[in-house]
Amino acid sequence: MGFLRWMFKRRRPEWKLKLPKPEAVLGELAKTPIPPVLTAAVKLVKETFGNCPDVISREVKLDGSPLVAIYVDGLADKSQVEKVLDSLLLKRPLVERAGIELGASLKRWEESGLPMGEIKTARTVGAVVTALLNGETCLFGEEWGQALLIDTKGWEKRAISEPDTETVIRGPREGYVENLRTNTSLIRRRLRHPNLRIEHLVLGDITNTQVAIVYIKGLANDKLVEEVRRRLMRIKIDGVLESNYLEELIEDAPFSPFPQVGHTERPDRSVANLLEGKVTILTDGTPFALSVPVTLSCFMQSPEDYYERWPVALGIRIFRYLSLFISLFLPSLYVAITTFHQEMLPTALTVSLAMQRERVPYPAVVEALLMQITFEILIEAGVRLPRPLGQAIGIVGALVIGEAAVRAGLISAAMVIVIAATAISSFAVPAFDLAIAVRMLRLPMIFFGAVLGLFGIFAGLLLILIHLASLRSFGVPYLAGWAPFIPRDQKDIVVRASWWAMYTRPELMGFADLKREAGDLKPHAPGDRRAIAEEAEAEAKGGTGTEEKALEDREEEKEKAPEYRAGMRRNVRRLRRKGR
Amino acid sequence: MRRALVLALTFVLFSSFLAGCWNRREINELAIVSAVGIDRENGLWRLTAEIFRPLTVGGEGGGGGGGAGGGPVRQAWVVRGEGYTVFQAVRDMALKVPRRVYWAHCTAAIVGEEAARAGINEMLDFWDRDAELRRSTNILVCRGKAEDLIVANQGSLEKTVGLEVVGLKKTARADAHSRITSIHEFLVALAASGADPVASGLELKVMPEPPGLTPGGGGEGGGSQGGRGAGGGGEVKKQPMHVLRLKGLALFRNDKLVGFFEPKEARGLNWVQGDITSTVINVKCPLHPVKRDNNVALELFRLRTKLEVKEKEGRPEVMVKVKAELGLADQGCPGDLTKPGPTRSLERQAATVIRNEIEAAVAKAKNLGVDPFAFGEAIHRGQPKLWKNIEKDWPQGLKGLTVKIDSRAKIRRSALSNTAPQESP
Repeated sequence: MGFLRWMFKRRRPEWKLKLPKPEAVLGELAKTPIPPVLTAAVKLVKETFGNCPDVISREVKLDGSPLVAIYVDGLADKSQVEKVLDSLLLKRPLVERAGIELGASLKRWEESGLPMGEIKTARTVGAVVTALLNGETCLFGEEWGQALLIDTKGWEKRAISEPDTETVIRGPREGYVENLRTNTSLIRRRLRHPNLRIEHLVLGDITNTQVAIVYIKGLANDKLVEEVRRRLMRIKIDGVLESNYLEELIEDAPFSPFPQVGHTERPDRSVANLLEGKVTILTDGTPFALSVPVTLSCFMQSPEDYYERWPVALGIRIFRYLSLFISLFLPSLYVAITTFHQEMLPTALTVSLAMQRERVPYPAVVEALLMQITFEILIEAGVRLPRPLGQAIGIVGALVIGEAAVRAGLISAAMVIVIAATAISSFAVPAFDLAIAVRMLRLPMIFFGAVLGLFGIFAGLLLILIHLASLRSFGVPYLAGWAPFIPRDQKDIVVRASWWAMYTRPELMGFADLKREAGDLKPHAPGDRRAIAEEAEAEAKGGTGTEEKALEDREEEKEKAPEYRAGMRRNVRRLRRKGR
Repeated sequence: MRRALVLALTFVLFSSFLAGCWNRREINELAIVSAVGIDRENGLWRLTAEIFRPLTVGGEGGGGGGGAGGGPVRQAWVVRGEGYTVFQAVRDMALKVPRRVYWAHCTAAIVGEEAARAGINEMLDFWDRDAELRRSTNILVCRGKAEDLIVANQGSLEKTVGLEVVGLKKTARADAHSRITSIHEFLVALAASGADPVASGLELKVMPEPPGLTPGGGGEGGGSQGGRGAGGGGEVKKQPMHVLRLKGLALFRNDKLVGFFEPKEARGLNWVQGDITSTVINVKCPLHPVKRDNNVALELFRLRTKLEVKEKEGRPEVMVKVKAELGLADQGCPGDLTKPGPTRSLERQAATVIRNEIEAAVAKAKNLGVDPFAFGEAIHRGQPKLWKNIEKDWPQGLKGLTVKIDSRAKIRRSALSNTAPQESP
């Protein structure tokens, strides 16, 4: 027991630093006013950065008093800085007048007609430092007591390219880049509506990373947005280098192997999420956007499902679910059936498997684990290696495992087939994080199957199902659609209905405005008499079908449900009752 | 809370180790039984199990069947077990087989004649009761000892007797002179008061091996009959070929074998039960009746059989109505048989063949006092009140039962040609 207590004891290292902690530095500086003496101000700023060579100051000698511009090389666009300095010299009389007569009066500078974008003023060193780190150029003058911040942002960034992790055959090729502003513009370009809201936060005490909460006002539930804001605000961390830092800090069940926050590299997917009433979180410095809430079925949807005609998409998605089950259960089923339930196999297969295993010295479990582990290592090696070497690994792996191991009698050929089929199936799962979760669950499943046969596999399946049913992502049940069963949502869970049939948003996310399209969009040929008659009938009824009527009813109900969580709970309860 | 969770998980994890893979058996640690022969000798049950030899099945030398490998076609090993009960005999094998004898894939139970005559109730009970054995196992009766048949059979295209029986069960549907029943069907018929079970008859046909087929004489062969004429050659030493063959049906009264139906009678039974998908009826050519006997073959396409039970003077009377749809399959005489006259003659002859076969079967069944036709069940369904009176002494009561036969045949088509190839005049 003592061991357990020791293992789970909370331990926090005491930071023993003589200097003020890095987190505190900015706070200190925020209180420090800019000294009125020009040289003192410049010196203070440069010393704050420890006289780093990339903090550059340029002095412009004007008649009367000199001006000093400070910027960080690489963050500020050099050509823009040059332009500002140029204009200061060229339009000297104007500037002099402005500088002399009005000091650092913002209004005067703005009216001066200098080629500067946004101009702000800063009165503390802290504000100046923040501005410099944002790529702005700070202008100091004698006896000003403040600084002018000129927007000269501009740094090297990767061009927009096709995302590697979510490729599609048909669909947009643009992917997010590491620059937050570019990413928000990618969203805004696809979603031209003033209700698209982008809220900025700065997270990471040292990295000061910009994070944006993106949602559609009126579509995303206000309480959900509030909840996202609350969960993000409580983050106190030194740095945020990737969106996963946030994902792990805002998810509902931190010990679950299943991902509870969706992530994507595709702006079109983000927009689709926003249109379903979800909230997207963009992080500066990474091309991966987060979206919440998320359900298990979301991870089985690929953007391409919606870009192909629906019969195709429907078939493909069903295969995808099949492959999810294969990748979770095939090795364990194989082990269970060949070691416990030989009567379930056809006679010919039993004999052939027995023959293959004749030379194999290990039990089937060991064989399966061996193969599985080798395969995992192979994947890991292939991912880390540079591309040309990765191919070599693939060949070596295929030859060694597929051919030599069988020849040597270490592993039976059937097991190679099983593991290969499993591997291929696991790659058919569109969301990589779900595929990894399933991969990690596969080993315990093999173990269950080896210890107790099919009985064990079902015990394992039950454990997984119980866990899944208890999961929630921002208040939405993880299995939403199946549990609670939502009949209307079935159009976009295992199957993908046609666009004219999918006229509602997912009920637990988009309930703020459930209807997504007109109810009578099903196209028909000009002479189709039956379709025309149906339309006329619907019109006679008052233009609304029963489904639409139900939608309107729901909208009324929605207005009566102010509390996000309470409302959600009510939804779930109602659906359960309906299911009964 | 968390500590409790960790504790619980630890217990679950370690207790699963304690289970120690309960009942686990690797597939290559099994001796998979393909077929079993069942004999009785001096009150002892003697089981002869045919076990797959995994190393040679579909072996690495390019598969059996071909002449290249030189190894035996049959890929099985035979082991015997003896005991006063079937179960003891099964366990007796454990002393002789280094692997666990596994029965779930046993597809054929071949009962020796002696054992069948003595009664096989105990064996049936074991098959029904044991979890590993299946009721879908086929039951066959061989004349003589089942052990001899299993040991001597050298296999044909299939690797074991069990697989061969499975194959024969399907192919036998193309010729209705026998029928393979499963233990399940056997048990159902056994339990019915108005029916008696049947099992397929099986025999081992010995034929001389055709010379030159295998150089080493390893027991190769494909059932060719080419060497039949050259019996006393002397130079080439010929080994006899043993080939399995279905022959007729074994008739049971309760669990005891009482006699056999010869192939024609067996088909008579199948006519009555309407359980024929295809068969051949040979009839005389009506155009040249003198030239040769039975030189026209008719193929059965569709069969409808109806058993009608009527009451006549307080006794049941069974009417068997058989409607057969035939096609002209083989014509051994010149001329056009598709004309109405010859066609009608063929149909009449076919109907007579059917009637004769049914009559022969019924006569033999009456003689032996068994009811494999399930006439009793038909009476039970058609005239339940009458059945109550005669149920008690049923199979014997069959002797006094009037069975009327109304067989009709209709020729529907003549395959791809209308006339036989004509000799030029």
